[in-house]
Amino acid sequence: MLLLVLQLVPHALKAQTRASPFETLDLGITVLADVNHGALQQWWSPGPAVGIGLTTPFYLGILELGLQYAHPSALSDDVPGFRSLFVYAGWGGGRALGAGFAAAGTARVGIMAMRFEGDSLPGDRASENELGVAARAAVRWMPAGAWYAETSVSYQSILTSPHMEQVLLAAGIGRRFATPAWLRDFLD
Amino acid sequence: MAARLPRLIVLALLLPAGVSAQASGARDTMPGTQVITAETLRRAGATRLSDVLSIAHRWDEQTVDGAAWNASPLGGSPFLPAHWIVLVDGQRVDDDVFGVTDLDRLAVPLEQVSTVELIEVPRLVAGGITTDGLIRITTADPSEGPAAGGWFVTGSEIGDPGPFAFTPEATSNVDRLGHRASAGMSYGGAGWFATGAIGWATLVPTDPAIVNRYIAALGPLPRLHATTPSVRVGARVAGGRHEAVLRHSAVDGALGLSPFGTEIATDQRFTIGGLSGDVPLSQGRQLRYDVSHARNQARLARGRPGPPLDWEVAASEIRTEVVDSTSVLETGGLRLRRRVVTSPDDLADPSIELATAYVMLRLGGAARPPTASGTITVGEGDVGLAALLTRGWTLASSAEVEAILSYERRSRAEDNTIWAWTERGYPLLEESGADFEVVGDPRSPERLGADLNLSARPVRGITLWARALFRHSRGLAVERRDLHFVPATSSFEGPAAVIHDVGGELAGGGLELASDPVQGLAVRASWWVRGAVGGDDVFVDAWAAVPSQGARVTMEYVPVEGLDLWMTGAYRGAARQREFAAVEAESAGRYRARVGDALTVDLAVQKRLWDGRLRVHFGVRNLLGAEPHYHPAGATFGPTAILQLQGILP
Repeated sequence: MLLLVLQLVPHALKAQTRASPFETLDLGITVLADVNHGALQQWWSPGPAVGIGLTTPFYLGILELGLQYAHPSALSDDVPGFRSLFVYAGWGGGRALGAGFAAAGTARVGIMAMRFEGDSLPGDRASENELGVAARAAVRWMPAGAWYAETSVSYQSILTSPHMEQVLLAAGIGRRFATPAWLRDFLD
Repeated sequence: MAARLPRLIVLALLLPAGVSAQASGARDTMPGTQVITAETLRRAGATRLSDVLSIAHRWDEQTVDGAAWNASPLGGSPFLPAHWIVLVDGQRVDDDVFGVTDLDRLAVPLEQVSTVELIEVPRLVAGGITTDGLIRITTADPSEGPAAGGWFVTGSEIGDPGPFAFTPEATSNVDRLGHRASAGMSYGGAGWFATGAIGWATLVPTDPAIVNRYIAALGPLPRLHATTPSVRVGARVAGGRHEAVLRHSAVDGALGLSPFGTEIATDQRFTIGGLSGDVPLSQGRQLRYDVSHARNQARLARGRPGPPLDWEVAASEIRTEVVDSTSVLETGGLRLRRRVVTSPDDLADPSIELATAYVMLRLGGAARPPTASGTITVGEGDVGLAALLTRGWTLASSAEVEAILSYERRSRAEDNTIWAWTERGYPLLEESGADFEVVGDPRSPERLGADLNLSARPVRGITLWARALFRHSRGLAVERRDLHFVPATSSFEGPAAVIHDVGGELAGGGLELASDPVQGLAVRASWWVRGAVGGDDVFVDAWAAVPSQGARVTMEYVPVEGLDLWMTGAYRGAARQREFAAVEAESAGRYRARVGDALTVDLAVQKRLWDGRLRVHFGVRNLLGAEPHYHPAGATFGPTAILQLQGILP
């Protein structure tokens, strides 16, 4: 995945000749499904997740900020279900494929906050948070105007012991906005 | 500080109180000196003052508990007691407790630090010879007008079981939160300023290698608490500069005293008040002064098991020197010290009084004239001496060589180890039943040194340093222990001995390359090697416990204004502590005599927002997942992620 990102970055650099840092903001919403079978999935059904993300041109490549919410349900009565929120930042690159299509790859780092269900849990065991990393490859179709559709596959690992590993397939839509001047001043 | 703080994911909100510490770019003023700026500290993600030791080149650092760090430059002694000289805004400070010096007890707010200069070659500075290193901390003056701010750091350790805590796969929950916080106010007026800050820290030792010892010392939920208030006022009067400071640190934690083989729950208090400054006398001549009084306490925490440690030292110091850059007598000074110990055990002679006179002569009028420096210390029936000769040659327009010859004889009255105080009648070891002996008769340690430094700029943008050194030491006091493992507390017991009149020869060398290959990129790479080349068995054994070589590469890259990248790679050679040989077998290899070599890589990225008012810093320490540790019984440091948010009030 990292190799893919590095492959894409030089082309993103060329794109930067057209889009200066923070010039645009892409706001997208996605629905994600986990297709992995690992340690997490032995005890929980991950269920669908929903994500909201912002993408903007950076000095080199693109920069991402986003949230991903899920509500895994327990597969047995021995363990509690939990709600999770993964807050991440990412960096990567993109490449135009023609006919309105573009590919992108990003690497993400974030923190997953978890709250476990069950009234009998003591306070110090009711919540948890842990560092996570992810790598993502996406294809975007942006035929005209500001709207786009996107599909992606990502590998995500939350660094618990053992790791919570997920392979997430996602589809979503989004819209590109011109970044307000005050926000560009803030970011730059 | 918690031993595993480096594993914390840290979220920090940092609001420096209008501090104008915006120094940028490392600048080394002379060979053997490196200057670490506030910007470098931020890029590297420093969260405490002692982090500077892990950023510095050519200094080897060591810790047992992960909280207090000892460090030594290439030609200095890596053994306790630490003999570094610490200067804060020109004032000598010493928070030494039985030879353990902890920079974080100095109560210097990290956000006020402007530069940290580290000197590793023998020089005469502030009345002392810097063979064992000097750390000169300079704080920034507040910006004009009133300002207030604060910062907060908290974190959680990587590797929690998360939801798996409820499954048969559950591992122990390593989730521990520690935090640091500070608040400060400042005012900068016309020719004067005042600033105050207070810091807090609550930290949790969780490292498996040390946690049982901390639980035994501090209780089932071991915590270290620190509070560090400080006040500083300064003014410029008639061309001179004068500053008054009051700093205090209260650290409730643990102190490792080697004869006991474990940590002791200790409440430590350090308070220093002082006045320092300079006054212009005439063209090129300046009077500098430094007056301070410090109290340094260490007491067994109430209700905790351990030896009845109750120790307080009141140290008063007056130092004054005249510096004349145009005169043969470039520096002349006098340093008076008085140290009074208060302890429930009546010491026969609880006070030590020392007087040191020092001079530096400029022997010629050339741009790099030879110099001769000397100090003489008298008191307590002993005499300490130091002499230093330096000479430089310009080989070509871009290359210089400097040779230094040094001789030091340290007064025994300056020895602050538990062994020295035991010999002066402090009965802690005897009363607590420690099994120890003193071998040989104490002598004043002597050291002869020779240093050769080369600095060159072979091509534009590249600076090369090379260094070779030799030390011949006699009269050293070296501690030896015959340790055995105590499984119940993961601690150690066994007879300890201090052996006097140890001697030997040390040789070492190093190379360093600094370059600015492209605009905004600064690269520095260094390698050093050192080790015993002669001496008695005790000396050679002692040096076998010190890594024989190390290397470091640091890169600072500012591709665009406001975006900073940091990378450092560090290699530390292996070492072996003979006294842990039995422990290794008894602990089934859990504590090994050999401390393996380790290669660590740290990465960080920093972005400033809102015209510099906000800063986001993310870093990963030990990216490769090596398991470096610095002592057979010491904490280890796994992969680390650090996130800091900083806000700067205009």
